[in-house]
Amino acid sequence: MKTDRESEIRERMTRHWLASENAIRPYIAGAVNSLTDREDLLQQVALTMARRYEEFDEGRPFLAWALWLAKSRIIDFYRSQGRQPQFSDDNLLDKYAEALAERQHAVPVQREALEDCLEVLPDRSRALVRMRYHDGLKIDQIAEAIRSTPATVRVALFRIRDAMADCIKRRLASEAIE
Amino acid sequence: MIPDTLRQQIDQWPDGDLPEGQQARLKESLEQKPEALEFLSDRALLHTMLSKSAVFDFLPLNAALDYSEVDHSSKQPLVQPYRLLAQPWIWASSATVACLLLISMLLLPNVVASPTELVQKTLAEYRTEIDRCYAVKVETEGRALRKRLPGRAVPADSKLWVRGDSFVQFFDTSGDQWVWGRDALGAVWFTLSGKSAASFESNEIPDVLQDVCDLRTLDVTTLLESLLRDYDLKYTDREDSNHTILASPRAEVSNSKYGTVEIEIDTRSGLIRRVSLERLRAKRVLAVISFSLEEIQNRADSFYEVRTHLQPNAGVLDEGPGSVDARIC
Repeated sequence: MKTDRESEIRERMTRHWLASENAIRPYIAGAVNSLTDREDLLQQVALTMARRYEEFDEGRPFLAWALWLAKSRIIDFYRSQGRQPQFSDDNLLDKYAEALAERQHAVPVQREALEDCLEVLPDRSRALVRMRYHDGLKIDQIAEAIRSTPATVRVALFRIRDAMADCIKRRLASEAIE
Repeated sequence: MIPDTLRQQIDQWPDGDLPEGQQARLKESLEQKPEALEFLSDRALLHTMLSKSAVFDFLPLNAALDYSEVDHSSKQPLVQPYRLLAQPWIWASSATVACLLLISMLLLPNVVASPTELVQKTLAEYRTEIDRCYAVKVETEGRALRKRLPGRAVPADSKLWVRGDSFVQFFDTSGDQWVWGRDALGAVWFTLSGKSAASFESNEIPDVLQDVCDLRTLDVTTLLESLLRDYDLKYTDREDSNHTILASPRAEVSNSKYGTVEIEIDTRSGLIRRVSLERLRAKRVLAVISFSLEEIQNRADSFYEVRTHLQPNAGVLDEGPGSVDARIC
């Protein structure tokens, strides 16, 4: 019986985690600059969540709890580094968490729209996005690979992301009209 | 409304690429401006969605990077060929292949690529980070544009420096030098004799200024892509390595920015030596502009920034869209 209960908890926890990762990842990304530190922190949050899952009250939203755990990990991270956090005001971290949580319900449709938008992106822009997100290259590595400058790559990615954000908005607006 | 520079800083942040000096400013902005935090939320989510996109499970066509020899069925990263070059045997093999290709080209001078192939090759080899200087001549100019730019006529001849999307253009008028440009962040600025300047961030550029940007500058990549997509191409002259192509818009193309285009390409270097093009609006010729390559020279990044072209102590005015007509004419 104990094994059944454990596997049930594990399954529920996994479901919760998968649903909330879309908010926790950008939450950490907004609060911590280094890509490596972000990955470490994400793992720490997952670990903390697994350890403390029994404390979670099923009657409350999991995302809020997970973001609260992430906030604690972020504060601990900056404290251990002896550095000033990106958000020196705890309230700001809370506001940021709220803003992300509010957006979560729209993420699935936005992701679908984004897939369509990426399909129509010019090949060259798509190659840049691919190098950045699929291949995980840093800006200077991309610049080196395409024999360009980091400044050019930065501006190009900025414009591509602007275009993607606009495209998502347009698609969702036109779907809403239909 | 968030200023473009702040938007760009926020956009860079999830990339983990924001210089330390700018991090402090971003932090301040996030604390002071609620809309900046909202934008960060949107952008951080977009980054996450992009990193999870399924679109990249297959390889896209990749004209600009010229990875034509890469196995496109493979899931290896696109930069794989670049990384492989670090291995000596690849260098050796590549050098051998390159030599064989060169020898073949030199031995077969009569085998000429079609105009389409030449434009494709030029586009594939076009390097946006190189600074090029063109002499620009506007042979005619539409009345509509003159009407929108009242007062002093825009000089017909100028020098245009281009690097990717950035440019600086110098006009000599009677006694004054009018300089304008677009920096790496997309801000458009202009100054008369470096005494003062006005600058517009990329999201604030008024339509009239955008029109002049489009009209008087040369976006080679867009032009070549447009030629391949919408034009019939034929050679009009082939002297030594200089080939001239006349491009005529196909009948079915209704919204082209360009009318007839003549382009001269050095087939050895792949450089565009001259472009003469009709700029259209509503299917009517607005101007005929020619760009002749004068020199290629490395320029500092700051060359494209307004400060470089100002006298000491001159101020930069960040203007809204309202007053541009009075300033540039």
